[in-house]
Amino acid sequence: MFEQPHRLHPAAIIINFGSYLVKTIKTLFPPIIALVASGGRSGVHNVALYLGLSVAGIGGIAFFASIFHFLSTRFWVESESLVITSGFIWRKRRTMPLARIQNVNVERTIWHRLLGAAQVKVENASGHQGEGGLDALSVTEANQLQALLLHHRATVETGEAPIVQPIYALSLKQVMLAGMLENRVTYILAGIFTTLQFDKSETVISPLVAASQKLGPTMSIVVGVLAFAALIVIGWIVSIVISATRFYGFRIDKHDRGLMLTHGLLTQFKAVVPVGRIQSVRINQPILFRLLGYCEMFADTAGSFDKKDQATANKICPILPEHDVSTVGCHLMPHFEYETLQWRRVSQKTVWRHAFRYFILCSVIICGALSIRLHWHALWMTVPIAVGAAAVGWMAFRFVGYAFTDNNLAARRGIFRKQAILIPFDRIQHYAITSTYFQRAMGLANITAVSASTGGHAIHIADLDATTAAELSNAIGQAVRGHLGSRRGGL
Amino acid sequence: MDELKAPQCTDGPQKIHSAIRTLWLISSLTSCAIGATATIVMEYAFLRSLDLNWRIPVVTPIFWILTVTWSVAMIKRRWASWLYEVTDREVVLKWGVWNRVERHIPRDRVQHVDITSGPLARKLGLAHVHLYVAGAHGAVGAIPGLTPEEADDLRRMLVEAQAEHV
Repeated sequence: MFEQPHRLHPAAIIINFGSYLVKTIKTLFPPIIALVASGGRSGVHNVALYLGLSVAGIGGIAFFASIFHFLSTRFWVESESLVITSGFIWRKRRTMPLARIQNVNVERTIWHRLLGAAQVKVENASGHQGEGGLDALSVTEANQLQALLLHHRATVETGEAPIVQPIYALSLKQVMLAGMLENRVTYILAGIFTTLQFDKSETVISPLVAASQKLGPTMSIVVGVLAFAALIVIGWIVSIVISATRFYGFRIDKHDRGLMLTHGLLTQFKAVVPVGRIQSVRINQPILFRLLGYCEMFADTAGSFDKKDQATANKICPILPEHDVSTVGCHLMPHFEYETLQWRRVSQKTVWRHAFRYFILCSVIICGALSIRLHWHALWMTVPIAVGAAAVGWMAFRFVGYAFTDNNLAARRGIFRKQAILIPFDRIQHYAITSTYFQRAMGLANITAVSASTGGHAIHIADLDATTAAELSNAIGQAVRGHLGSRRGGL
Repeated sequence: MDELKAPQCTDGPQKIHSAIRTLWLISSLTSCAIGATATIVMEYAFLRSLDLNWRIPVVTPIFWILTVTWSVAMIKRRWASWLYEVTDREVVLKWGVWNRVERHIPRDRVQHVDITSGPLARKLGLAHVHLYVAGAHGAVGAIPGLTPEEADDLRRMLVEAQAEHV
């Protein structure tokens, strides 16, 4: 089907052009806002003119670049490899063996949907980004190429739809709840500060300062608190809207080659996660998720592009009730166990090590800052800091732990944002037992086990008793040796 | 042909070549000299900017004298801490004076092996062996200070194991 060189869909011109333009406008957004807010101050019009000319110039170049990209790009499949050629002046020919392909995603942004196209992203294990990208194909071609690259040649040739079994789905209410449990106020604050940075003429800042002076100190504090509360509410609403649009219609289906994730209101994602290539499974519980009995689930594959907070293939489920973890997890690993794991605690000495670390860090920061006004009296703050550090150390001890079964090694960590990670023994690439000077003095050691997941999520069990660490290291060694040769997926 | 075949394992834990201490000493002195020159000049410029009578840098030279003394004193212990062993199943590396590490790399997981040696290492008759596994950003194990023959033996041990596994 794809033996002959194929062109991209003509929509690639508009989509590429739009993509370049949006990127440029995003970069220039803070200065543009600052210029608009500055109004008619002297000299500003010239800057606006230069800015406008720059955008127009970049737009012109982007338009011709998009046309050249469309005309020069070809793709086909030959000798069990996907070949993509592009470029007029700097010719590039990328060959990706089908056996090395880790994942193939089909994405449809709102522009793709309006123009009847779809984007195909191909990953292998060599990096953090999609290594092969085809900006726009017809929807039929995109689905056929995805199936072909994922070794569904028979399905493609016969035209039969691949066998898909539903596993899990999220309702709109659950998707909105996932948004409600997050808050994007930090993004909004970062945007405001970036914009203010360009407000050189202080058109925005000066009236605010003048207004606060008129209000008096008490009212200024009240207004400040109300403004902050309003920002938190806005951040919360933004999170709900983003979650609802991104994960609308979220569905996990069992596909011939792995799990197929489908979601998105404006941009539609359709990603197949090859189960045989999964290196580790992570279960995250930020504090609000934990209080309501929910979690997020991730699966790291070799070559997964782990962009935090973006809908990528390795976020298996944005919100999942704790009691459903195994329902989904058993489709990710052949011997998945979570609820039944027998968690073991690390040494109790970890409380003192954590407490000492937090005490020193917080004392330097808080007492250092307060000493400017309070001088030596700032040292009184060390008393509550010591109590707080001991409490945090105790909380860490209560949750940090490890477990292992015949097939998997698991560890959990975190105080406020808790995370559990499971790595099958047949996925461990190397493991180590480490100890610092202070740990050795306390008779402690750490164990680290690393998989081939390029996201870098390793198992790190800190502060085990030295003898327990040595025993665990031996147990891991025996289990890894016992599983050699049983590797699935070629890694 | 059998005579050419590399041994499959090392004979227990192996120490690295003692000449590596000379290499570490020269590397340490060179990097300290570069760092010291830069920071002493910066301290001198700072003292001049304060318009004081005393313009001779004191803090950074003392810092660098202590750093060099410490680095030189640690070289022997650093060398003594280094051990490597190739068993029938895994490569075991042990190193570190303050922070000790014992890393186990299953032989089956080794993707490729690099042997490197800079001009100074070549002059001292040394080579370093780097082991790579899937998913890592760089070498997960780097054994410094082997003779070229030892390095080549190690490479053959691991490469042959790969070939047998395939």
